[in-house]
Amino acid sequence: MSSRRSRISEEEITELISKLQSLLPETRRRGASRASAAKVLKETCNYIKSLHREVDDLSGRLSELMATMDVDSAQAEIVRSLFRS
Amino acid sequence: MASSHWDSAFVSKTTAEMLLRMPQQQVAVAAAAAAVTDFDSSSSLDTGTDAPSADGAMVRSPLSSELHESIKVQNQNQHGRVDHKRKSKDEASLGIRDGKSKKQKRPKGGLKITEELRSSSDGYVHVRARRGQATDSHSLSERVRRKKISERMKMLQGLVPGCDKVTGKALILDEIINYVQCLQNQVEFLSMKIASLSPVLYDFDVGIADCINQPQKLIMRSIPQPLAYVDQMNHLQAKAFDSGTTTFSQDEGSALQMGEQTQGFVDQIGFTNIRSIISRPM
Repeated sequence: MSSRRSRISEEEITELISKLQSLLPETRRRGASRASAAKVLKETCNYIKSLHREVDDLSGRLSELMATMDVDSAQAEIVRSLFRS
Repeated sequence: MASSHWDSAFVSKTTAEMLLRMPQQQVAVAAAAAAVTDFDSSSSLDTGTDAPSADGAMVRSPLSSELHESIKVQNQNQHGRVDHKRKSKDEASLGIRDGKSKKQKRPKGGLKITEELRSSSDGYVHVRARRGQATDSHSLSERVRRKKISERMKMLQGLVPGCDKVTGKALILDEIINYVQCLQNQVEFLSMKIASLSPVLYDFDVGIADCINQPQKLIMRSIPQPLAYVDQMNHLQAKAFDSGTTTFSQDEGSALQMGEQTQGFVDQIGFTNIRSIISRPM
């Protein structure tokens, strides 16, 4: 049957899926058993989008922070040192 | 693709029966699924067939033209690629709806594609069923499930940069996992930076907020509080402070070390001036 070949690698696929699931915030907390792959993928999709938003948000905040700080202050120096890394 | 590939008459009839029995949403997906090949099959077919359920098309009572059009529109949305495989007059052609799909593209020129396809097809649904593959409910639902998964993988491929060059479920999943971890690290890194710069904004475990210096309060006023993920921030901060400067190189460890030391200092002397703290030997 054509599905036989996929069976062999099916296990690693499911393993990857559960690994991905463990990364997702929701399932991590509830400790839920394996959700369906489709659900995991969908959650991953949403999660990635929310991570994107969060990164944008944080970057905006950080740049705002940089802008409001006094250029000569010690804090500004700290921030600059952070970016130098 | 020529219709000669498929056992169109038989399959469409069977599929139609199946469709009529299944609940509507499933039917819609099943119709599309029946019309498409599996994920493991040749990629050319796969790409063409994917995501009949992509965009939320309406679920309506059987109108063959509706199915045709909506599928076409879906495909246009999904990939801009023409899929001539599934049109049906015989099938209970429902608008495909998979509410979970979150494609953002809008049908541009979708109608154009539809026209073209209509003219090329003979009006029959060319659904694909492998020879010897049963069209019973199990196989059908299995195919539906696989189709759903494959379609979501495609979506993720679109989200994750560099993922479209990879083929094979395992590799794609690998890429996705890496990317998610990367994003998580990035978020953590950024929040640490922000937190270490403006302790007043966040509720540190040691209650730094109580000892905040005036200038920092000014900063606080200009930047809105991160209400959304303060808890997450606490978690991150606790983690980072406990583990030290794990994510930072030694050079810039000063800021984090400052944070760590702050925990100790705050209790005793209060957070008067970052500079004074930094200048202390680390």
